[in-house]
Amino acid sequence: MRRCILPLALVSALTACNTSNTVVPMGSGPGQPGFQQVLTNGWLNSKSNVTDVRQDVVSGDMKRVQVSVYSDQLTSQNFSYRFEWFDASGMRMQGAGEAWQSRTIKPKETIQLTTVAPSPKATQWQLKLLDTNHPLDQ
Amino acid sequence: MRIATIGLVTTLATLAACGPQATYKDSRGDDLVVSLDQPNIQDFNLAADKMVQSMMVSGVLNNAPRKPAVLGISRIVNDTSSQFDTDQLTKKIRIALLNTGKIEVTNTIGLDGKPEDPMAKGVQDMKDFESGRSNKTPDLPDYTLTAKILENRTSAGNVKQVSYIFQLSLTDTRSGRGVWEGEETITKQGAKNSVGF
Repeated sequence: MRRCILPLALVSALTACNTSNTVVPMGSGPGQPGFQQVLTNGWLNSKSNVTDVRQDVVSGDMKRVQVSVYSDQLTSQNFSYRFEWFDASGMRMQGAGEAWQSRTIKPKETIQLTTVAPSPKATQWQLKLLDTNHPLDQ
Repeated sequence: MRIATIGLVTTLATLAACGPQATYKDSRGDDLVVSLDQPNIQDFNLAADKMVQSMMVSGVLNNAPRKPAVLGISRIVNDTSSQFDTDQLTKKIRIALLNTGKIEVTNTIGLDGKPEDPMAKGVQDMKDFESGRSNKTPDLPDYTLTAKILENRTSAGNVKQVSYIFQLSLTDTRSGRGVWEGEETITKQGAKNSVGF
């Protein structure tokens, strides 16, 4: 019986590691505002490490964001992501860009994730990254 | 020892055979059913998001004759092998466009002369009649939106692949010319339907 408990405990502990990473910009102006990462998943970060954040304005007053993501892995990897938008009061805004999207990233590749604010009132954003092929899911 | 192990395995097998119980899911979440035989709700979400973002990036609405511009919804064609209401796509696009504040959608002028909201059309006509303006030109749309959804299927061995191609065109009614076009292809591959990405 003891032999069964150990593998079950190990599996549940490792599965619990599949948590999200979050990226938050340090400023709201156009250009490269700098960013802060809240890392809770080291494996995910090794294949979707944010290296650069850029912001500008399109269509007159809509904020556009581009985030560069680098994979340090030696095989192609998948991850999913979602941008979440907030108004000036910090209230969450629903709309375009809210759906989770899946991306494949090749070994040692840098890709760009781009989004546009759902409304001119959307001034703040955060990016959530989630693992879609955790080693235990294979 | 052996009895305990057999008991554990039997319990797990029984639970697995029952399958998961029905639960509520985030409709924009990452753990929804992915089908190879029909477009899923997340496909419409993604296509609508991408299309609206593409339209915003193009800046085409900056040239609108008035702000917000008025949009009429024209023909939306489902050319896939699945039967679904195309409002699953167009409503999301309309909501997203309204949220930008750059467009308002007319509900009193529709395709083939049929207003989407007959009551609004009737009230509008009545108001115009009462104010003596019944001969006035209706509030015509500045732009019209057409869409087509296509499907492309292929397979290799037992691996099936399906692509849903969402095509949208925005026409400026002053010139009759297309001023923005967007295409988003969503491809799914696998041997069978699954849950999540």
